[in-house]
Formats: sequence, structure tokens, C-alpha cells
Amino acid sequence: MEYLKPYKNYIASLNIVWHLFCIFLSAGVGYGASYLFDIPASILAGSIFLVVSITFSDIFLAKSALATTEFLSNVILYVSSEISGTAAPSAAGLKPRKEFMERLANYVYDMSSKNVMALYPVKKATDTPASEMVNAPKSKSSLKSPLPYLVIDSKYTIICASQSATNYFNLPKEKIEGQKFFDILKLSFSSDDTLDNWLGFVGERSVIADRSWERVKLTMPDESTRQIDLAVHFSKNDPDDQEIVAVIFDHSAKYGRDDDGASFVAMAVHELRTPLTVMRGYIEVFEEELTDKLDTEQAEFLRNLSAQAQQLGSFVSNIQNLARIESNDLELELKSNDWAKVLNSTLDDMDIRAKVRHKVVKRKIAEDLPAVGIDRGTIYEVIVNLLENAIKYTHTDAPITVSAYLKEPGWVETTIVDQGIGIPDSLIGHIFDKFYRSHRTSKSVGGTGLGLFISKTIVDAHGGQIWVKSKEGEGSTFGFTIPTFDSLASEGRSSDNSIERSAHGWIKNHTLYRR
Amino acid sequence: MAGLKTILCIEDEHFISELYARALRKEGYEVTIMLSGDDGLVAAQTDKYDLILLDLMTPGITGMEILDILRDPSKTPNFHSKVIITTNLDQEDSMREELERKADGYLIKAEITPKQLVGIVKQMEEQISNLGG
Repeated sequence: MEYLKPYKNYIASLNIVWHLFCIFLSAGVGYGASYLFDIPASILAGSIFLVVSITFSDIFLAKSALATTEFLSNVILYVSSEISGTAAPSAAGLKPRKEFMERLANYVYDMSSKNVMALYPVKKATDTPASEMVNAPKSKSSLKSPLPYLVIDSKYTIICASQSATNYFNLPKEKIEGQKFFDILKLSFSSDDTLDNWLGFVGERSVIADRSWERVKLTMPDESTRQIDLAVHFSKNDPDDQEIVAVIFDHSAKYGRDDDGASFVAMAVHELRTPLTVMRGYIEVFEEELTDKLDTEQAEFLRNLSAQAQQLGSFVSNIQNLARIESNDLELELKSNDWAKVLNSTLDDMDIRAKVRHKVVKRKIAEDLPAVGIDRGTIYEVIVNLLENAIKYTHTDAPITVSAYLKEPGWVETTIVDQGIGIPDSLIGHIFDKFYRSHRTSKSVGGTGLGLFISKTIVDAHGGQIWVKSKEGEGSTFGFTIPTFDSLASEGRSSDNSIERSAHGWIKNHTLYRR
Repeated sequence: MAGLKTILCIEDEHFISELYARALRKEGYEVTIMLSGDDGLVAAQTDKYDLILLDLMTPGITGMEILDILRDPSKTPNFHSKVIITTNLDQEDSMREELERKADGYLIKAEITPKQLVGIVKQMEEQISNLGG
């Protein structure tokens, strides 16, 4: 197919390798520099990351860029020997030299001013007054960063915006300074690991802390959106009440290119789904029309085939969801649904997959459950993933029990209980991490380790909670809560009901709808 | 019952259109298959069909362009068919609103079997007949 151009694949993998390389490089160099200069590590790491990332495209074009990369990697040799305590190959015994780091800093500055300027409109090339620089070493005037940054006090009021920040936001200084931080910096994070939560966390426990985020969506004053990396330095009880410094690394152009990578995923998913549609279609014809002509073994083979095709379909959906989550694009439409009906029809869909593995799935769904407010397509994935796991990790014919009940007013809880191999204590804390799979079981059971991560993200997005209880050798219980529709409606989070959604798409409800 | 008796399936993947047509014909529907977007549009504009199953990625003119033309009264006057998008493309957020306005349904083909498609068509027929129209 024309849209599956082989080079996209190549670029995608190259990009990952390059990202890892950049992170390593910037973490090492940034940490080293912060050690020497008392510059917030994340800020420097971030700026180096920026420079190195941008340099990527130049590498094939400009010799100077190559030289810079080489220079940076040399620096790592020097720095790493000092920081890690282990001698790097060619730098054993060498102390990092201050002027060496200074030159590095200048490199970073030069390159970033060249490249960053190109990323957003700078009306006047006015130098940032030195007094505005926070935490920058006084003698390093050349370090004046063209990156937009904001200084915020302990009451979350912006007390200083750099010239570059006013240019970036295209707002006069007085419209930024004195405003509340979150009114200017309207950020949207891909998970609940947000700046807000982090500040709450470090405010309690730390005096000085640094943190950076990648791929944060920033809504600009003109309502356009940008994609940024954000580096934040936190310093409690600062004498000038400069508690937070936030630096913006605008990567809209680069992440925009990555989104082409996301559409690569969309195309790959499309290409996988087409033969899958055909396979499922033919399997169904056989199931309908051959049943009395097949012997027991052949009938079982056909069931296996059907179950496997379904499983492949689930996997493809998981990939799609992961791509959405990663590009911060998981949007839910929460609608009123009869939970017993949703659960029963999903379990019916899963029936054949349980059967071919000789598992019995018991249902204990409370009667008279209140309507729930869910995005039916995505919650379907949660049930499928949890049940699929229960089936996979039960190697006996012990039954699996799916229960649903009103946990407390406003919340319906669903649990999936198996008596399978269970999860060791040491690993249970990581079970919802991306790509997590028990190392012990990974050989005997297939899967990607995406299911639980995706399930957690989806349940979180519903405002519910997902949890696990497990004992090795005795089985696992997974549970999740979803809000009742009433509680959602009272919060104004629900959307209209003229469209009926399901796991496989939507149909307009013609009893409610007239064109 | 006011039905969706005549169905036009615009779908370039021959296997899929055959499977859909086979399942629908078994239940008494009249199905016409068009393998390209251009032929599909011409057929759709005749307004001979109660229901159109429209793939988004069709060779020639795309499904989305077809939908635009069908819903534009200056280009397709007196158009009454229901349109269900049948695709394996995930609905992009940028297109969501437009699709929800212009289409009567959106189905991921890999997620439904032909028999389930028949069930959905029947369900839609019931709703329309409940409207008394």
C-alpha cells in the first residue's frame, strides 16, 4: 500500500534510538554542569536536549553540528568519571575542567539561540536584562537564555516573565506578571503526573527539586495549542520568594513531525484490520454453515481460529489506544449506560475466548444497578484486558468470577477474580506500568504488557480507580470503579445521548433524532 | 415496516463487500456493490437506496468527499438515504464533529462480523419504524 512507506518505519525506530541517546546525553551533561555551576540540572539538561534534538536534522547537512555532538560526547566522558565515580575509558583520573564546561555552556547557548529563534517569532532581539536571570551564575552572562521562562512566587503569582516569554506568549509584560501562573500557562498533561501534583508533592517534602515533562500541551492566549517540554525548578523559602522557575522548550514542530509517526500507527492499524475483517467474516460463514458438517476436532479448530482472530483484534485496538494515550489524545465521551447490559455483552463477546481455554466465567452482577456514565468503546477495552489476563494467568479449570455492585453512592465497582498463578509481592507495585510483565511468566504466556497500563489510563480518565490484590499461587483480583451517571451529570461531565456508542463504533439513535 | 430494503455498499475490498452482501442478502436485503468511490457516488446520488454503507478509504474520490457531496443539497437534492460509515480507520478527533453531523453511524469493520452488521441494520430499521416514518 502506498501509505505504508517503508521509510517511515525506519525513521520511527531511528527516532527512538535518537531520543534515548539525547536523554542520556543531556542527563549526563546537565547533571555534570549543575554540579559545577549550580544551574538547575533539568534546565540545562533540557536545553541540551533541545539543541541535540534539533541538531538531529542538521547532522546530515552540517559538519559543525557533527562537531558539536562529538564535543558533547567528549564532555560526557569527562563529566561521567566525576559523577558516577567510575572512570570513563579515556578520561580516567581527569578532573572536569571548569573552562571546558564553560565552553560547553556557550555551545548550548549559541546553538539554542540559533535554533530556538526559528521556532517562535521573536519581534525584537532584545537581550534579557541580567537581573532577570534566576539562579544563573553571575559571571556567565553569555548564558542568558532565549528560552521563555517564568518566575513564580509561593502563591503561584508570576513575578517575572523573560522578554522571550512575553514574545512567546505575544502578551505585554504587564499582562503576564502579577497573573496567576496557571492562568497563563494552561497546560494539559498526558497522565495525572502533572505539574500541579508534583508541586503539591515537593512542597511537602523537598527544599529544592527539579523536574521536567515531555510532550505537554500548552494552550496559548489565542487558544492555539503548542507542544512543549517543560522544565521546572522548585526552591522552597527562597529569600526573594522566587519559588518556581518554569522554562518552556517549544517542540511543536518536532512533535508535529512525530505525529506523522502517530498517523503511521493509524495506517498500520488500518492495514492490520482489513485482513482481520475478512478473516472474521469467513470464520463466521463457516461457523454458521459448516457446524453440522464438522467433526468435534474440526469444530474445535474453528473455534480456536475464531478466538485467535478476536484476540488479534484486541491487540490491534490496544496499539491504537496506546498511540492515542501517548500523543495525549485520549478523549472520552461519557454517556449513560446500563452497566449490566454492557458487562454482559462484553462477556458474551469474550465467551469464545474463555471456552477455547476451557475456562468458566461466572457472572455476579447486582440487580438494579444505577446507570453508569462511561465511554463505552474504551471501557470495553478495560473489561477485555482484565478478563483476558485472568484467562491467561489461570492454568487450571478453576472458574473466573466477574462481579459488579454499587460500592458507595456514585460509584459502581467491578471485580474480576481468578484463582490463577497470582503475582509476587515484589512485582505487584509495577503491574500497571507500561510494558510491564512478570519476568517469570513472560516465557509461558504471550502478550505485550500493554493491557493493564491502557486499562489504568482509561479508568483514570473516567475518574475511577483500578486496583489489584494478589497472592502468588492463589490468584488475583482486579477491580475498578466507574461513576454513576447521576454523579457525572451533577458535575456536568456527561454528554448528550442522541448517539449510541458501542465497542465497535456508533449509531445515531433514530428514536431521538431526526435530521 | 418502513425498511432499509435496498442497500448500496461502497467498498473497494472485494472480500469485505462480498461478505457483507452475502450476509445481508440472506436476510432479504437487496444489495448493490460499488468498488470505487466515483462509481459509488454516481450510484448514491440516484437516491435509489435506503441505506448506504460507505468506506472512507475508497479509490478515486474518498468516502469523506462522497459524504460531503451527498449532504450538500445543491449537489445532491432530495437525498434521503441513511449513511453508515464502515471503515477500519479510527475516527480522528478533528473529523468527529463533522462525521457525527453528516453520517448516521460509524462502524469499525474489524470489530464487527457481517452478522453483527445485519443486526445493526435491523436495529436501525426498528428505530425508524418506531418513528412512524
